[in-house]
Amino acid sequence: MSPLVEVRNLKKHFVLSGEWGKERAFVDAVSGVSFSIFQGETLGLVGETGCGKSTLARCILRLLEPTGGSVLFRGKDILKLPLKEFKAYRRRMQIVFQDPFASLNPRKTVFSILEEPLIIHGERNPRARREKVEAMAEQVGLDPRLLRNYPHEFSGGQRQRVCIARALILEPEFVVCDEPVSALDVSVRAQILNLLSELQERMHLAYLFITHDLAVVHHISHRVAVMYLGTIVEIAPTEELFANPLHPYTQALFESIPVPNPTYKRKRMVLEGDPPSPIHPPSGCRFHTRCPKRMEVCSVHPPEAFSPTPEHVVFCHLYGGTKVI
Amino acid sequence: MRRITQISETLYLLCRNRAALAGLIILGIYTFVALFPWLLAPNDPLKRDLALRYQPGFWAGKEFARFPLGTDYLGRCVLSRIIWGTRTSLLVGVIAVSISTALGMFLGLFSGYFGGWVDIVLMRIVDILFAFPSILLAIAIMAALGPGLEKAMIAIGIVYTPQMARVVRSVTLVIREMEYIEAERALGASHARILLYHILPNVLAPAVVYATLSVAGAILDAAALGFLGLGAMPPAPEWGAMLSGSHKALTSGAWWAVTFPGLAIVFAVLGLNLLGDGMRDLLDPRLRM
Amino acid sequence: MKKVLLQVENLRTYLTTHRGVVRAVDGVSLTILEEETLGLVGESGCGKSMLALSILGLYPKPQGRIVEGKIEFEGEDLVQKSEEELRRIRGKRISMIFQEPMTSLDPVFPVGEGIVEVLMLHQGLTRSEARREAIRLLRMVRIPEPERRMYQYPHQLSGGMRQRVMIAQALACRPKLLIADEPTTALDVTVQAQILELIAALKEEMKTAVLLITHDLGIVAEHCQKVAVMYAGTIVEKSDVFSLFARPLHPYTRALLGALPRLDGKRSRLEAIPGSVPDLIAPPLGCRFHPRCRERIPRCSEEEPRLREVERGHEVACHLL
Repeated sequence: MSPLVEVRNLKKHFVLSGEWGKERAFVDAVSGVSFSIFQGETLGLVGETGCGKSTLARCILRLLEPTGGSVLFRGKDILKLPLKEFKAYRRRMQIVFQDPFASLNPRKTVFSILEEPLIIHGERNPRARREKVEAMAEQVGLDPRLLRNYPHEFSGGQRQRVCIARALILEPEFVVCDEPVSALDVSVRAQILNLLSELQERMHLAYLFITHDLAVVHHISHRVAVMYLGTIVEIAPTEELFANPLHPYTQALFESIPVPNPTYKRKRMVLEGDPPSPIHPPSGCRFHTRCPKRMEVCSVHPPEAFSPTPEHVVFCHLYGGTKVI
Repeated sequence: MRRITQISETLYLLCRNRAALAGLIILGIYTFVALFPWLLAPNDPLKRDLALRYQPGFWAGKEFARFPLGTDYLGRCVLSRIIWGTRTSLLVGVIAVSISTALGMFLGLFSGYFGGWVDIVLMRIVDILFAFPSILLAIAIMAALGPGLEKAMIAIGIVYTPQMARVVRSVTLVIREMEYIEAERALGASHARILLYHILPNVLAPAVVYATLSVAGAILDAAALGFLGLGAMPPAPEWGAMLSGSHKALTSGAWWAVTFPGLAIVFAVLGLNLLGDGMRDLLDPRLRM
Repeated sequence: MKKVLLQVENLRTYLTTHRGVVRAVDGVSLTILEEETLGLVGESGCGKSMLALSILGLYPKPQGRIVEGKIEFEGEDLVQKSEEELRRIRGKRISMIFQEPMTSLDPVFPVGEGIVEVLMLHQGLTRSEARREAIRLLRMVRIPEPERRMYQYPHQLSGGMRQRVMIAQALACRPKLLIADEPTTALDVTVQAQILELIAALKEEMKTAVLLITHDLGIVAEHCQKVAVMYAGTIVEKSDVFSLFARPLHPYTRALLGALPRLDGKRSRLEAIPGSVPDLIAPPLGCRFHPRCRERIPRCSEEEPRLREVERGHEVACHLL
């Protein structure tokens, strides 16, 4: 089976506007990331603040123009398309944002927010639009009678339902979920996670699910990619990754999650320090400054990929760096 | 239906805000005066009678009731001139601000949304305009255009454009970064659609507040230009020109010829400021909840 | 048997807003023993932060007021204290750390300055003594190069570092009680782990009691001895941590645990709680959870359940038990 979305060596640098006469600094937000996502699958993308996961997502959707690399959607490189032709792809790939308060225009009714994508993509018949909007509202569990209300009249969970409906009304094949439940309370979070799973089954959606919450990613993903400072350090099927994390960063991440079970005794591996700045990322393996198992080679060469099983890839010098793929 | 309830709700909230209500009432009176001056003015504002120069008004006794607020240096009725001048002054204020709002919104939206070198060039021009005191700039523009009321409107309109552009640009910069604009881009909306359908409505509220406040400034500037003899051409009644024509009156004890036009200006400016501040509170969605 | 440090009795803190009176804390009672960590869990808007602010008399004024109840701290009722008296308690005998260390540090002062000031105010140290002590405290919270860091400004430090500074400042006078309001919510997991370990270690060392406010049941399980679960301004369940996680009794607690995606369990459908958190201006009559409760009986909408001891040390407010 060929992948729905394939990301190859994607790069994004931001130029910091330096003062006159000074050398310009670059933020190395995404530095050479590759992975693929198949139809109907959820790929979880975990990482800490500033690791570049949101930038990566925006580059895939061309909300930001990447500095290098390619994104293939059903085999077609969408980064090379002129923007006019790319619009046809917009309806096939959508995004749900983190903040359900900031991502809805406060001056539009929910109906007009949901109608908007249909208008943009040329649905001229108001009746057809109305029917679609109402059907979609039903699908995400919004009372169609509330469609004439404004976003501020809704709770956080309901607003996130509106955001999901807006993303799905064009019947996309691929949806980026950028921390869609981080702003929600535990009790509401479960509702939205369940909804996303249901919709995935019903509409055969592929998700790129970005989050910093490992429990959430464990719950919803088929495969998980772990990101650190602009690079992917490990990628594997969920069960395997959680059972057998290989990269020291992945291990530390898992060990850091508080477990809601007071009898659980952890083997602590608390990481020292904070993630370094992506303006001057460390040489070699980017994790070496905080890694408890670092070796001399780590600060010199970036690690090569190692695959213990066909679907599990880790970038770490501990495993010899024999290139398998 | 929804729109009507929204407007009535806004009016209701406006009425609850006492300061804004006071502003609204003052402006209502001014507007009425401006619309129907012939109903209110006791005398012909242009009729001069040098025999009746600097006549005092009602306070001096019954025999002076013909000119309730006295007469000016040419023996014209001060009250009638103020009443007829209301129309001119309000018109100057509103038209000048309409010009600055239209120009400023265009520049601000464009500059804020697209950013880059367009923004840099436009904002440097705005900075240069800012560097001049507003009245000086208006005089300079008038010098180029020549005197006259229409030209005063254009000059004041240009003078107020940079500030409006700044206000609109700063709001645009904030709105542009909102996630709902990003969502809009993800849906494939064109720049025109995003600007007109999503950013403009959000910019409108602060722009309207700012415009209301600038009308007050524009009226003052128009009066100043009139005072300098650059605005309305005599003998047309205009508040600033009235002050200018009568300022010598102060030394001769005829305080009424300057005080009353001055008060007309003060109350108009006060009304506009009260209304503008009230609308600022009103249009803040956080306070509406 | 440890001594009672803080005893809150039937506390009600109401806030007057233009929409109506928000009953943020509505009849809360709880006890913290010396050297104990009590976890206060609840969703946003359940009143847990307002409870913490009430203890220190820091609730917003004049909108907020304590309409009823007692807050007894080491035998003194804090509700009756004047602002002046409370100021002498804050930072000295009870300290607080907040969620967002960026906004709780003054951006125009070097980070060490806050600590120096607290020490001069409460301990009567001279400036140079206070500086030396501040460096010692910063070293204690494991800030590298404290001599240099001390003169840096908040924006030059990372989120984790700022929270360490806040902790150093809060513990400067060896308070008897530390109130930590979502101290790690703004931080990344790896940094969160560092900060929680640090609080736990310092608490041992200084024999401080901690009121840990959080929405994360995982943090409660790992760091608290006792738990109180708060819902819509009231406490619905109180227990020691083992008993609560082994046998959650209130339907809300159970629902909350069921709604949590877990790393150990199977990845099946989550048990979502229908609806959303109620508005505290007009909370539901009777049991506040009843509109969302799967097990409600007619009595739930009529009568407010009282907190009763169901098992030893395990109190629940529910009509079912």
